[in-house]
Amino acid sequence: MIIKIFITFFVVFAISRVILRHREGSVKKIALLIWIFIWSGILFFVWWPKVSDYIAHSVGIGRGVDALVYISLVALFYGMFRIYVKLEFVEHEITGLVREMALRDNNKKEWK
Amino acid sequence: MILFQQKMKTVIVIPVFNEEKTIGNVLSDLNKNNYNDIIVVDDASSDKSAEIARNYNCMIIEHLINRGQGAALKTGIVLALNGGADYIVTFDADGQHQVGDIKLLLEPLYAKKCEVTLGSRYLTELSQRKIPLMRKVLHRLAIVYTNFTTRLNLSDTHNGLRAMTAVAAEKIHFSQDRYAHASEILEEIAHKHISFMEIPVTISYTDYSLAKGQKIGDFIKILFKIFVNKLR
Repeated sequence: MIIKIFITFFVVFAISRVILRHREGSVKKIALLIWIFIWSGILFFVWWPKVSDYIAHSVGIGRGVDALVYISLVALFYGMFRIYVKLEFVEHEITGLVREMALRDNNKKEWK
Repeated sequence: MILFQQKMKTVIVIPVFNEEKTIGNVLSDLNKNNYNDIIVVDDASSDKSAEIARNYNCMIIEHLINRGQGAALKTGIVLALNGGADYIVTFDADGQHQVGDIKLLLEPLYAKKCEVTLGSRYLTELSQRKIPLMRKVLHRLAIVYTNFTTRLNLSDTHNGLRAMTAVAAEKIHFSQDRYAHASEILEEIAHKHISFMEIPVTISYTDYSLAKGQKIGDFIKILFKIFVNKLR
């Protein structure tokens, strides 16, 4: 029971952060809804784990907790990949900026 | 537009990152052989590379922060094209390349036999090849991979010594900032059906160049970067 309450507090904290970021304008409305849906889902399965067992059985996994771990792993790897791709994009943008600045500086230079 | 004092025709682009031990000799050799249209791209070296380069006939362009060999090379190529270069040669700053080989790379371009010439260390006579075993293994892996993905039949794939016409340079778009740019250039050559020739060149390996060169970890990183780039 203690862990359930602890997780509930954490989920409430996480949702409040997302709402705050949304108010600041750094999180879009669609992202806000997705995050609320994910965290609410986590909360739901924490308080009613039997439901996850039922869903897990229907897709051929023994326990609901196992199904959650599998899904989490896949989601985490996907999330990591997305972050990596985003990072690559930012790196390219930085390179473009550095190049542009170097070429602009060069307008002031002459051949030695 | 960029202010060039002399009309550029054949431009040598040298990406530089912390090469104070070799850049002086490389530029001195080039100047002695009448190569004076040189663009040195200092990729935010923390040593005296740029300072040393200023003593020679060359144009120095500086990246504010380090972006990698591919990024520096592209900056140099863009500058050369903006300056009206007809031919561009890419040359390493670590002293591995021989100035005499530049002429061999340019001849087929001047004769309009092809648009790009690629230096190959594996086409030289066996007795002249002094390639360390570990390097051979790495090269072999890179060659097999690149030949598979590009359907080209190359003998060397990660050689920084190459020459191209301005028209070819305009067509070749590469975005990889670090070592993976070499594979990307070859993929562009294959996909855009750019005519090319491999030219035998000599690479002189020193302890210095070996320490700075690519390792097995770099090869894995290159593969990963290419893979991610394709999925983006």
